[in-house]
Amino acid sequence: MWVVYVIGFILAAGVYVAYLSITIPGAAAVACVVYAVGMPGAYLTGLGKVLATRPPELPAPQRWPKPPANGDPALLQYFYGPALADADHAVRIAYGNCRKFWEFGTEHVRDSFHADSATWFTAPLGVGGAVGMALGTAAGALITAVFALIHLVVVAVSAALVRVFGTALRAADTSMLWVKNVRMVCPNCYERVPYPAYDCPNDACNHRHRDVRPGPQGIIGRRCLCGTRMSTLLLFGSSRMAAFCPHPGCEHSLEYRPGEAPEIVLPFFGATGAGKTRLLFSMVTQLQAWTDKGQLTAEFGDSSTARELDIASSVMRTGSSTTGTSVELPRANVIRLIAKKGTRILQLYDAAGERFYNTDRTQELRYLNKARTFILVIDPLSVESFWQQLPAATQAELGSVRSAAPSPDLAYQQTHQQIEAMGVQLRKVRLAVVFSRADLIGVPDGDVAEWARDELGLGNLIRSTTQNFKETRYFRTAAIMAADGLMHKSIAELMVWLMAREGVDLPVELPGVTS
Amino acid sequence: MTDRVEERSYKWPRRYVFIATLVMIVVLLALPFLL
Repeated sequence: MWVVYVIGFILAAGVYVAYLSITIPGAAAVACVVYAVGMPGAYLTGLGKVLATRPPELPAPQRWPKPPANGDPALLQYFYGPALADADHAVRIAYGNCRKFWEFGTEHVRDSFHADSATWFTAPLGVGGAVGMALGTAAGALITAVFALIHLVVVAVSAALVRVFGTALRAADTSMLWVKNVRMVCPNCYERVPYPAYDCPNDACNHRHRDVRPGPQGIIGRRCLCGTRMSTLLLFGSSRMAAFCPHPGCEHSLEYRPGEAPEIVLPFFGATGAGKTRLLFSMVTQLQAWTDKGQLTAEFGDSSTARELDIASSVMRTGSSTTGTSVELPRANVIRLIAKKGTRILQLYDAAGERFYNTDRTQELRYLNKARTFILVIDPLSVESFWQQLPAATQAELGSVRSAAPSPDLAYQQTHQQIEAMGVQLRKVRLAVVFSRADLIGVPDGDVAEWARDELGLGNLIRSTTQNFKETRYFRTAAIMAADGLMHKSIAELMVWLMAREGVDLPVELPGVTS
Repeated sequence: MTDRVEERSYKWPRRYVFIATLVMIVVLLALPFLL
């Protein structure tokens, strides 16, 4: 009988060993495959949740980049921080998923050793599963690491390309401004504007962006914190947004859409009552007359200019006198000039004559070192020797309009020294010397410089202007309007000379003057 | 508010990174069969 038991035991042992030889490797193989595939799968699922599906139950990322210090109220560009934060977020989500997956496996392995009556049956599965889990986890971790590395490579390459693209765009925009000779100047604080600041185009938002150019907060466009999309470059139409001076303390509105066209800074200087404002009004009236005839388009660049110069043509038409200019720092009168050869922004600075008598007041006129052409206005009647030559009847008639200011030499010397002190090389700039009131004293033919030297006794001034400046031209202007609404031809002659080097083709042909 | 704006703003860059990563992985897995 015992032989039967022995044979039965041997048979049972053989069957169990066969069972072990099948189940342990089998369970190990299955567990290994499940974990080797499951872990990368868990990572890709996490990546999909973070980057694509964004389910509501997705936990918030633990790390998120802070906006740059002193940055604008705009979102960070995705590849300037958020992309890496998303990579970190995906790894954390995947780690959480893998941990649950691992705990699920270890729980089943543990249970396999505690099955009350069937431990002999389940334990081999647990042993195989544990071995398979270990091998599968090692393989899965390796594959997951490769996947995560691929993700990081994609982010790194994209971030590098975005930076290169942003730099190229910025360079293209700067080059475009350089080629178009666009150098912006704030009409209010006289500082160079490297790039205008812009208000968010959303009327309900009051965020101001100081530097919209491609950078950490956007390449082609940027998004204001309110959600509104903004252009980053003049190339992409940022000039359509409301512009402001970016300099702290100024931040004045730049209504004239800076950046679209070259700016021409034209400072008027000369003694009090020399006729600077009247000359300015004459030039504006002449531009309006050309506009009315459809020969060009001149429009006020901002509301401040419109308020100041709206009366110019009526003053010229009626012949009434202009009011004295305030001694406060002047704000440029901005005029957009659209001619055949392109558009220009004229910035006309008309400071009170009192500002040109002492250094302190003149050096506040920091726009002087932004100009390439200056206009010195001289009232011939203010020259004492010339005044004394006039008949008594003429003196009585013109006494009321004569400038009582000191000699024109003083304002010229003061300003010319200040312009030099501001670092301007006079040999690179032009000067128009304008003798006003030609309508009152007559406009004799002949060389104006010679007349000024001989009749006015301004030899020293003429010599100095001729020697110091790259190009000096002398004009006699009459601020009177003809019946056809055009100003006296001397105004057009002056304007053609002023604009000639700026590439503006004014609709007038004058002998000896090319535009 | 900012979160909603971020979600909207980063939607397509995120999708681009996800798709690019998947394409790279598929190419990597297919490489032994392609070579």
